[in-house]
Amino acid sequence: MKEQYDFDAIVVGSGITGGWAAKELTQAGLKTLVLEAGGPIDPAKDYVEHVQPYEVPFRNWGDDRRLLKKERPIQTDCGPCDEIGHKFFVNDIENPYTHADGAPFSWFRGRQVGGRSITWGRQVYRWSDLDFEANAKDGHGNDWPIRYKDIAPWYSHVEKFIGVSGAREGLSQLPDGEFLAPMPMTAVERTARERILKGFNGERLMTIGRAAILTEDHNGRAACHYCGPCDRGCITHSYFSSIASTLPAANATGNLTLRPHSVAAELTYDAKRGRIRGVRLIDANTFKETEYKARVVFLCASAIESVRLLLNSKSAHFPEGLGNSSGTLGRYVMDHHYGSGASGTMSGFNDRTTFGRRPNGIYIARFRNVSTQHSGFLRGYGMQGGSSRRDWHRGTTMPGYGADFKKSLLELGSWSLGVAGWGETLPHADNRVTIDPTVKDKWGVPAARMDVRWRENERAMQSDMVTSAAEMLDAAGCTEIKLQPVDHPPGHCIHEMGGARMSIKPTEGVLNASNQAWDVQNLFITDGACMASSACQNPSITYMALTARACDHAVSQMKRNEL
Amino acid sequence: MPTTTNIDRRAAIQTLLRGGLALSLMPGFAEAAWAAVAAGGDRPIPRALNSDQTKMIAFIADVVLPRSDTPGAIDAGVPSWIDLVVAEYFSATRRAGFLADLAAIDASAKSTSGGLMKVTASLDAACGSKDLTPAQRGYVQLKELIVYGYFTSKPVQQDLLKVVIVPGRFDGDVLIKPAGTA
Repeated sequence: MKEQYDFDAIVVGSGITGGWAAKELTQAGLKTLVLEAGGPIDPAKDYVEHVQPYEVPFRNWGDDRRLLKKERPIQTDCGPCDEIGHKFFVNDIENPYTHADGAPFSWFRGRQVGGRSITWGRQVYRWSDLDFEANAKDGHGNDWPIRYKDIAPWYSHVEKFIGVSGAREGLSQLPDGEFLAPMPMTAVERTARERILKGFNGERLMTIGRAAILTEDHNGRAACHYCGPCDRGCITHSYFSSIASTLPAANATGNLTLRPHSVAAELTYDAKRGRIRGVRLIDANTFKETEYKARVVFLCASAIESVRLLLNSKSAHFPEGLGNSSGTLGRYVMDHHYGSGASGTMSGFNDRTTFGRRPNGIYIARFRNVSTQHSGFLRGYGMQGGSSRRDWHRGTTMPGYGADFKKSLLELGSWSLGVAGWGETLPHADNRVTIDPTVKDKWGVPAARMDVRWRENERAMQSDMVTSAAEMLDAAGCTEIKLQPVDHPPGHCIHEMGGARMSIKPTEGVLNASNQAWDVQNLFITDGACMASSACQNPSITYMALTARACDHAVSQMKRNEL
Repeated sequence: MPTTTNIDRRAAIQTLLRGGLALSLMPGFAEAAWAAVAAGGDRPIPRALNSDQTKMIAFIADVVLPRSDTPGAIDAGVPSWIDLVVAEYFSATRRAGFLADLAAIDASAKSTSGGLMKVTASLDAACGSKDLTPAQRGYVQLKELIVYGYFTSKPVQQDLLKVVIVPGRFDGDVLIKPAGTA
């Protein structure tokens, strides 16, 4: 008997990749249900980017008692989860997870329509074959089943739609994209770029950050108005979020059904047909359980959530988690280790300042292990940073008092220039997500348990980040250079990825070259879980491109009745 | 110019007359605080700080950021904001630690010739240092609150810093013209 479906497709998650899956599938004519665990967002009411510090009781310092101790003891370790913007981060008490002893893990989450696309950093950098070939060349992790040529058209597809501002630089390790006009660099940054290029024989290039923020009107969205805090929303939809672009495009087709407050608890499996039957969800408000059936399911819930869902979807056929015949599900979890670098003072520009608040910084393309082999570690890192004139904040920690002190703080201070690294993490089988044997979330869904650790290669790279940063600041002409090593726990960069990696062979991973589960043909996973390595670039645009590419594959198979 | 009077006038007078802050020792930049006190006004609902603590904070706030040709910390309502932070932002543990450190400042002032003014000047040198005494720790945190509270207040943000909420553009290289040039 022919299976009856509620929808052609179900997409779990409404964030960066869920929005893209919704757009691509609905535009291909598929009746698509998007499930979102959190509630709806109304930009007109919920976005708070123009709220000023004096409009909230604690002037945006946070709130020790309510946010830190009661509701969001973990989330508040993420900068944007502050007094003004905390609404876009989960309640940690309702959404617990655990970690192994001695392996702290930061998991910053947003459960709302739009997911973390509301709060993300908006930095978008293409990968190159330096990245896709890395596992094969040095033997860490498995070989990627794709190369740059396979994803390049999809990068373009995504960039043209979302709008990416940036400068073309012609670097092999950081391919150019379909860029809108770049945001301006400051006078200090322009000078630093030239001096660093000269000081390192052209090997180290500082460019303006490539950002999914519009510098001109684009696809019905307005250019940035440079108010600054994008992570609190954008009423003019000037940065990419699923709410601003992909979900409206999906909705315009008439094929989208969006169901907020829907906690996906299990992917149901039809053993006779060897397919996913659908998704069992729990209504977040009523706790009522419902199952929706579909021909194809896209997991876009974020790397750890998607892996958690698969591990919680056990059956007689998949006793170790759905789609886990390879035994790799939950393994090879990565994040970027980041933040180590240096800052300094740039003299000679005190007659210069800026106007507006640029929601973007500078980027120094990877220079380690690009053309020559570094002796201390494998892979590499990019660096991010920026310059600004010091403002009144300096007065909170410096000596001084009285009328002259106050007057000095009302004037611009010296120029600061800082850079910090974002480093590649090697894939290790023992860096993993499992299911906690006892802890469950508010809805009774077993919680994730993390065991992810930085290892020797990451430590060596972090040390080099500090040294390199100081060298470049020195070359740029900075004085008073301060070394700034940091040691954030894994997860803190919010670039968590891996756990259901793509592979050439079914024995090596969970997904094939099209993000399709080797074990279950009608299941696609296109969020960060699919990654076989981390590279050092901010990963979201790669997730978006892989999602669009996987949707194209799924639709093609469905048209041929192969799915 | 906005004026906010956060100090209970009668209580302030009593404190001053108790000798902790003799009027004769009041420096010029504390006159602004006194002017605010003298101007009267309602004291906010007491929160975490008692009267003595409030007056000590107000005194230090006025030393750090006095009224000049621009508003001072008292004008900007900084002591009242600090009271709110201590009462409703700080956890119980943090609040207890902060109040204990304030007590150390007070003890130091009472045992030092020159009182709180001299102690404030001494403690200020500890800003940016490590391995602080309780009094230094209390002052450093208090000063951070004073400066932060002042510069994030509405009158300072709007009238002095002239913050443009929606700039509409970003210019990465603006030449600052010397005063008096076109």
